[in-house]
Amino acid sequence: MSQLFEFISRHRSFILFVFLEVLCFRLLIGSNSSWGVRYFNTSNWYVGTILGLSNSFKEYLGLREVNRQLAAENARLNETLTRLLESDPPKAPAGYQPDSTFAARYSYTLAKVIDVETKMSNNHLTIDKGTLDGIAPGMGVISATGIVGKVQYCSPRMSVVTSILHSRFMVSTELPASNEIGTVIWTGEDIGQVKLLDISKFKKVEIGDTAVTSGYNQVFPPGVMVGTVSNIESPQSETTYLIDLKLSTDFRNLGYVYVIQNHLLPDMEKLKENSDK
Amino acid sequence: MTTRIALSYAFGLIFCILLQIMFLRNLVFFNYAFCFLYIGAVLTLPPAMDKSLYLLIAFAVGILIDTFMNTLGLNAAATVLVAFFRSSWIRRYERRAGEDFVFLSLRRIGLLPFINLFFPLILLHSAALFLIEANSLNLFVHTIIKILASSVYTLVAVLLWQSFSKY
Repeated sequence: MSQLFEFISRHRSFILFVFLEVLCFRLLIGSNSSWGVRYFNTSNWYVGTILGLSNSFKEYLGLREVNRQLAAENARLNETLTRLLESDPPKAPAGYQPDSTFAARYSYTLAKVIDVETKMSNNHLTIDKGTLDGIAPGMGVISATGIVGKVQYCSPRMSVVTSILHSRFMVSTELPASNEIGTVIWTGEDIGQVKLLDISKFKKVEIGDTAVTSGYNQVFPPGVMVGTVSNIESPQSETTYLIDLKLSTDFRNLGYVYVIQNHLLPDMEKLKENSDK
Repeated sequence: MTTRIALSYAFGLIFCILLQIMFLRNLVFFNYAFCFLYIGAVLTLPPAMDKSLYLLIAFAVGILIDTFMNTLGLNAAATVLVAFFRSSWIRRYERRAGEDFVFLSLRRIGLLPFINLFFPLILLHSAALFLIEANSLNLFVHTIIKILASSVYTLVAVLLWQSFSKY
């Protein structure tokens, strides 16, 4: 008997080794043993917390890529939304059947803003897409929050955009609540404020009404957010209101923008030219 | 062994395990080279340690790594295997070199002896791990490449880690 204990004592590390290896293989094979399933995997609370920590760190590093993906997805969704709205406009009378080419005339290209100017009286911004990406002067530019401007010059890889904060930039804008169409222009005072002109005094306008681009635009699809009414003046001598709009786009932190191409614009311009003759 | 040295070993072990489960787990090259830095921390524990205790530590570390990788028993089996063979391997090496090692750090025993001593053990660990994982000889060449690439990668990582340690 004492020999047995002596044997065990002498070979205790080997016995422990065999025992541990057997245990390991038991765990490895019987992966559905109840305590293995319960404790020793990544669904354990402590394990999950630590993995979550390392994952959140990785997530933070990946934010740039996630942003880019989201912006690209938005461009795609915007394009689909415009096409669907144009092929079945909510305000159109029954029986109106838009041409499918007409409904799908807008396409969106994603671009990153690399420089923004806001302090001048005629402001521009620069984006990282140019003629190689199909950008051409005259295309509209919007952001996730609203209208931005219009492409002015293009190099092969960059473009300069005239922002809405430009003294000669005018956008046909609609107040859906009062069903009136006017023109938006920047007066050069505040980068968050634009003026909305030509809204008739016979319509009811309230502070807080939203203003969106109208259907008379050539570069912007209808319904792009411009801003909200922040102040209404009604001068005695005029028949129109003087409305201040609070811009929905914050030019100080623009990240990604969407450049909108209207495929039918050349046709429209040619048609106009011909009718002028 | 003073408390300070014991603490520094414990700290090294915890550091390697944390690094393994937080970062190195995801740092796989070309789907072939896996880094098992924790095996370096297990292997460089003092050789004078009681062998049963050493096996238990190896098992605990293996199970901990397995828990995070959802491979319950796999790393533990390979680590316990290497831990068991470490003492006789070190004794053989000591007899050949004619000196006794008290500390198994890169600083104490030099680069070439360190590689000579630990590369076979790291190779054994990778081989055991991937052969157990493959569970067959179907993708033998694939497994061999994995074993070699992972051992070299692990050795480099262990050398890097050792060159930063104080003892």
